Amino acid sequence: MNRDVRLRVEGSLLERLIQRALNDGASFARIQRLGPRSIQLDADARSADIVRALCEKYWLDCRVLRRGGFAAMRDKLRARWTLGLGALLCAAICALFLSRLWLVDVRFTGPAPQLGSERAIRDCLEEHGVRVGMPVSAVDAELLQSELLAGAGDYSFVGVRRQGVRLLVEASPEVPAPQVYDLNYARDLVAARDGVVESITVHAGHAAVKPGDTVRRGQLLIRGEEARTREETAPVGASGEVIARSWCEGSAEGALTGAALRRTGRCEAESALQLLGLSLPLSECAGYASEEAELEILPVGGLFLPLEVRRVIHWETAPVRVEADPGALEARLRALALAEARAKLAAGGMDWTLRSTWTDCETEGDVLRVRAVCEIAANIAVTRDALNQEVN
Amino acid sequence: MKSVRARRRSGASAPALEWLCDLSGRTARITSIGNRSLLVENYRGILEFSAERIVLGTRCGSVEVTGECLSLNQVRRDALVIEGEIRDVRLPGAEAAHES
Repeated sequence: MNRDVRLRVEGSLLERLIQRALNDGASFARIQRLGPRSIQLDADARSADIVRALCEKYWLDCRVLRRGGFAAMRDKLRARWTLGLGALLCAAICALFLSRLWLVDVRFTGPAPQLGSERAIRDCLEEHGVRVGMPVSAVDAELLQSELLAGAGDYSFVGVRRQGVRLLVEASPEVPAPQVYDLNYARDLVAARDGVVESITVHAGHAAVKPGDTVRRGQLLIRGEEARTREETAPVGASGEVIARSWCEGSAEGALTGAALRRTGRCEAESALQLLGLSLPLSECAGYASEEAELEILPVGGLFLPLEVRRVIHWETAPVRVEADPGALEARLRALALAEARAKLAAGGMDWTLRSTWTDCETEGDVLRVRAVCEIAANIAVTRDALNQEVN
Repeated sequence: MKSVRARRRSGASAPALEWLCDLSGRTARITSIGNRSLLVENYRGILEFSAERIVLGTRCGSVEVTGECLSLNQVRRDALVIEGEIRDVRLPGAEAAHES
């Protein structure tokens, strides 16, 4: 028993009306007396129909005060069918939007996320047909995961997850394996660069130099052999550290004098009246073989009319010899030479410690030459294979 | 909760046979919950209905309920609930007993 419909009935002998409605199968949630000749009925739709039929039959005044429930909703929807259509359209658009892939994010995790290449992963995703706007159901995360793992580069882990309209690719770049070598593989350690040996620490093998020795690049530092007996030696993989002082040079040079164009003082001017793309010459001049031009714009039409006078002043110039500031030039050349020396050290690919730097200058005619030297301490012991690779 | 059974006869029936009246399902049963709600079962018709007075017909006579702001709730053919400020319930046969 619900209260979908509220009726107001006016007339006499309303008790009999209620009784007849009950006899016809009606039921009421609430009946209230409003006055001597009126009552208010709350009933479901079926009972309300029964009461209305009886009121028509007995010429009683019956009015519907309120309608609710499913029937009322149906009537409201009929009256506002465009609202339902809009809601359906909105739902369809939402469904269409949510069924597509709109975001593809790539995230790198693991101990070395900086080694990951987002471009490589995105290229691999494109190769496998993953693009923004494709249906989400067409993305097979597990298959894509294995394909990325196989084709996107060196990754120890690749995870692909669908999060609504977002595809999240998490990749953990592979950490490069440390340099290892076979301890039993016979090898020597040689000098990677020229220098003076400061200290030597031998872990395996036999030292071929001692502190204070001057060594050249490629010279044997630690021999890969060890004595088994007094007469017998066996080859081993030499291991150790040879700290040596070494030097790296850089140089730069610059001219102390130079040529520059200076104005002679003679000038000519030409002007033209210009409106948008149209130009009307007012005065002309021939100009000079070597000159500098200055443009002056004089607005004539104010803010709203783009009418202006363009005046070009041609200044005659002549080449003159100027002397550079020696102090500034020397400082600039020192900085350049030091930068070159440091760049050479960085290109060497070894760990080093800078001990000191110095520069010296020399003038030869009109040219100032600066030489910069960086003194470093570094472990210069490398294998012959590494040295050969460096050469290649 | 107070339960009052309307009896058809003026004389009281034997208590041992009271359950037979309930079993027939034709005897009116009136259950009052405080003075705000009154459940009437097995009534036969609404004879009079106003905010101050409601008279219901039963097999054994009419039941009169007086009070204020009375309304009929959960009205079905065989039962209804009277709600409001109930002051007096007059059962069938009470008038005859009162006159005698």
